[in-house]
Amino acid sequence: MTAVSTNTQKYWEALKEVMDPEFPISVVDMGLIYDIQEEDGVIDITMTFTAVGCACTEWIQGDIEKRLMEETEIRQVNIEVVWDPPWTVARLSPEARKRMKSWGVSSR
Amino acid sequence: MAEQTAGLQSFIELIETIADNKYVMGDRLVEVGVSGPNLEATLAAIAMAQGELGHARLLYNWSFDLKELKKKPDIESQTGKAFPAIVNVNNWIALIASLYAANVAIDLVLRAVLDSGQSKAASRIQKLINEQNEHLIYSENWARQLLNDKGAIPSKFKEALSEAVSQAEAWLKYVEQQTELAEAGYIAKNLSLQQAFKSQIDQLNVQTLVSTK
Repeated sequence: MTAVSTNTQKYWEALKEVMDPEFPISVVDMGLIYDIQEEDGVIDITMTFTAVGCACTEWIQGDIEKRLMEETEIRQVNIEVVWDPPWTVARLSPEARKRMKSWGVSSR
Repeated sequence: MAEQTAGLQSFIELIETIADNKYVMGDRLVEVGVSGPNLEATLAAIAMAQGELGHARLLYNWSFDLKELKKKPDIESQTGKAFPAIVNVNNWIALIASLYAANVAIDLVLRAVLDSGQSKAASRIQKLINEQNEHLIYSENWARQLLNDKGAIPSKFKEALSEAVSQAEAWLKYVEQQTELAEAGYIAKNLSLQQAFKSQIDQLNVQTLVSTK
């Protein structure tokens, strides 16, 4: 995860409420969010997905935008999807690994 | 739409060709793959279909960005550049032959794009290349299995592979001839795509590819 600056910490926390549709793990704990920048009510998200063929890309982006727009100061959300560095299970947070393990899903 | 240079036009054509092949491969992996030789093969084929269709979506969207389209059109069909060997796949043997030959060729070209130093190329295709490698491993191992099978299967496979290889080779030759691609920095310079392709296909140890002409 990219170093979190204090002024975007609240947005990282907000995105912990946005769940991956396939596993009830947040997009932050899945390691999908690479960077968050905010300036004058415009928020720029740099993110990835677990697979290029992910069928839920628009759904997840919609959920992210919807949640961030609930913050009163935010008037625009820009999302840039990147594929480098490529997502691997190494990006899962310890919390996500713990939950995966409890469901019997390998995270290695 | 901004005026396109020769290099950009060729690059868009290159990206569309790859996208078309992946789009049709995704379709064939579902249509033919669902009747695979065993359950594991079928499940893998369907999973790869989702991957290939996802790669096609990413590449078509890249081509739309290169064309500076304000509104991205829905992708309802290929643009007509897919290899006939892939379009005509109607059985497992032809599916494996086409999947292997096309992905070996596509992998070489996409790595040449990555090696060009073109800004943002990695953020577009690095993950695709990683995923594609899994499809290559799968199809190469199935190719070996079919080549060592019994009865008419090895000769049928060689015939299908020969057709798929000749079409992929012709495309690589065409790409090498598009000098504006390297001059404009869209792919790496001094490529030997055909040679690298032949070298990789030779690793299958197919003694004599059956002529389809």
